[in-house]
Amino acid sequence: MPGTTVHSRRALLGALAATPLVAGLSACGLSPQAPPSQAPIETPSVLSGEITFQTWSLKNEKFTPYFEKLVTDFTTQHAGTKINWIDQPGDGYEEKVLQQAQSNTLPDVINIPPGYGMQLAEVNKLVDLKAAAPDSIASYTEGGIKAYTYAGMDGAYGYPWYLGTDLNWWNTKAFSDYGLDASKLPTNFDEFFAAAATMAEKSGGKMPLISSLPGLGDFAAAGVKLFDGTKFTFNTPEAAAVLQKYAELYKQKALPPEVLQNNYTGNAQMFQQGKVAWTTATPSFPGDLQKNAPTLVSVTKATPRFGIQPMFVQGISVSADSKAPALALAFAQYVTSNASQVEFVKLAQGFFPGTVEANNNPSSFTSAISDPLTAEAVALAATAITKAELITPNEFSDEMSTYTAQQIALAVRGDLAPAEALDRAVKHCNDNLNR
Amino acid sequence: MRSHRWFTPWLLLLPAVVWVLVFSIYPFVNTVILSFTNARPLRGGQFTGIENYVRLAQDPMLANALVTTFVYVIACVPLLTVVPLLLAMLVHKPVPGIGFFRTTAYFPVIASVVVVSLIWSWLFDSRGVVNQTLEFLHLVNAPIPFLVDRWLLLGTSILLTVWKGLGYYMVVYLAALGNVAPELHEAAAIDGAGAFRRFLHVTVPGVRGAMTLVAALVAVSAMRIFSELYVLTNGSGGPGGESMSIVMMVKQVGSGLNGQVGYASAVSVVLFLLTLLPLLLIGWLNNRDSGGTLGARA
Repeated sequence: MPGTTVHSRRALLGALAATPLVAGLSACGLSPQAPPSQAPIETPSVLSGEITFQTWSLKNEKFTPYFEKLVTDFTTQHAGTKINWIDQPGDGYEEKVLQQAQSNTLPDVINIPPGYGMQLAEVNKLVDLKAAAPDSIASYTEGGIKAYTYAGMDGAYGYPWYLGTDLNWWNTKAFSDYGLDASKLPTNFDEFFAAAATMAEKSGGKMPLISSLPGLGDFAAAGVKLFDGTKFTFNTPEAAAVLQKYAELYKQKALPPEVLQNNYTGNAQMFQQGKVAWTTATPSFPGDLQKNAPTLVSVTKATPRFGIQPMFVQGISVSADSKAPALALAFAQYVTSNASQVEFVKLAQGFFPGTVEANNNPSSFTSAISDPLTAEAVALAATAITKAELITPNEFSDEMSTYTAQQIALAVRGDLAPAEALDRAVKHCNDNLNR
Repeated sequence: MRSHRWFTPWLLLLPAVVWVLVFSIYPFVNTVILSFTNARPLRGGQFTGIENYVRLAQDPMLANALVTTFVYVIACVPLLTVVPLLLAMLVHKPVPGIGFFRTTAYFPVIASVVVVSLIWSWLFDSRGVVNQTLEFLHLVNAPIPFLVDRWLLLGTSILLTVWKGLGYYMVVYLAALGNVAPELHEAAAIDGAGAFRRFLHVTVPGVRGAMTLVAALVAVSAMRIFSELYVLTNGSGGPGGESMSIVMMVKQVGSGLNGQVGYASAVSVVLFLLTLLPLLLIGWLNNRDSGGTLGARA
């Protein structure tokens, strides 16, 4: 019937045209997820079920046997359980976690840093471990737990797994070559800046000392309060003075031009390439030197960082969407137990366990270190880690970090007044905080 | 006489329609909708009207990105439209061993843009081969900041894009040159036309369709430039983000767990609209020059 045909065609075409619009409206993520209940998770006498455990860039020759044994030991102790261990590549991890959370496929037990944890906890994707297992928290270091405790939210959203801090690493040959005393390495910012100026002058700019732009850690070390709980506050005269100092040193060629690109790992890379005489890196840095720049090993020396010792934390969280929450919680506790962590940092030399017991007895994991430079660095870091602090607020997103670094680069190059660069950065961060 | 039901053609079209709907129309419509919201990943969002667009109009980051992108288009379109044609004419001659040169010219196309960009970043580093050579020859006293000066960085990146794209567009022109009748060149030569006049009045009109196609493809690619600038600036966009392209800006503001998806979508919509501009311009120029026969010779 012609009339029916026309009608059906219109209906079909109308349906086709409406599909993307309806799909768009439904899929564009405009509906927030309802919060799940955060209550103690009852641990049954016999665990059962199957869960997924995700690590971040740890499936390799060095760590794979450790994780395979970890999983086998756990499943042997708890017959009837199955743990699927997966590992994600180092690059693009944030996007991977986002995609998993968006599609409700977040692994039951997952390795995430505190910043990711905050974003996931805010949308109720993680189990509050303080509510789920109140007694478990006391086993972990205060600083480690604090990293997974977020402003405006009750509870803790990750067990600290391994901790790290940075040290100063110096090329002592460059010190000797360019009129500086290699036995008197800088111990504070003033000495550091003076050494940078001398080395730049004596080397004619061929060997800059400084390998990175100043950042929040440098401002904090100058006594600047970075974040007051509701807004960023690092646009102070003290922070501007730090930037001004770097701008003067840049003019004197105490920093190579590539520093303005502010690549996160660029400073250690430039040190290994012999382009700069100082970098910051974890105590595991000698391993990289032996692999990439063996001639530098004998002339490299480590000293503690100036100012505030930074703390880096990696933790293990439990997904709030887990279908086997009791098993997931038990496995998260197993992975982060003192025995498991000690065995882990024996492999991840230069890092520290997140448990109180291991930190009270550092020899339980440092005794495995045979390389003298690493052993010396770990000894320095072991002292530093007790005073280390989480410097960067979790609210400081990657985008804020990139924008701030871009403004700092302009100030260091002399294209923008330091105070204006900081004002721009703080305004941008606060605007984005409120959006 | 009807031999099929009314919906049979639609059924035949269905796979293609579904493909276009799912992979083109749906993402586009979703992006447009999101551009009017303050949506973030995993969070609820609200419709905010044209707020993102008002914010964009005042955002210095977009102003920088527009300058970078337009400079890229203005430099790349003529270079990648004309130079590959000249190269194609060179390797078009049936000389023994010419296949080797054609292959060599095509090599950069095969290489990964990320790998090539990394190699270029080493070459143009302050202690890289280029600077070391210039200093060795006493042509400069201090390293040239190829990778941190806004315009030098842009120039380096454009050079990389042109070098990498030459071979691809050369192949397009080789196919087009094959369609230019040799008799026309012979007739023009008999009439006394030199090499340059033959190029201008025989070769160029003969490959006009291909030139339009190449110009359009280059314009769209240049508007969406990302990899070269991203790798050469180590993802930083250069000091002040001055060397950031529009696509890099989308990545910076929209990616990650805390990304501003709504705002990034607004930037994407602006990029889409801006991409239409050079296409319309090229179409109009071609139409004007060919008396309204756009595409007839393509």
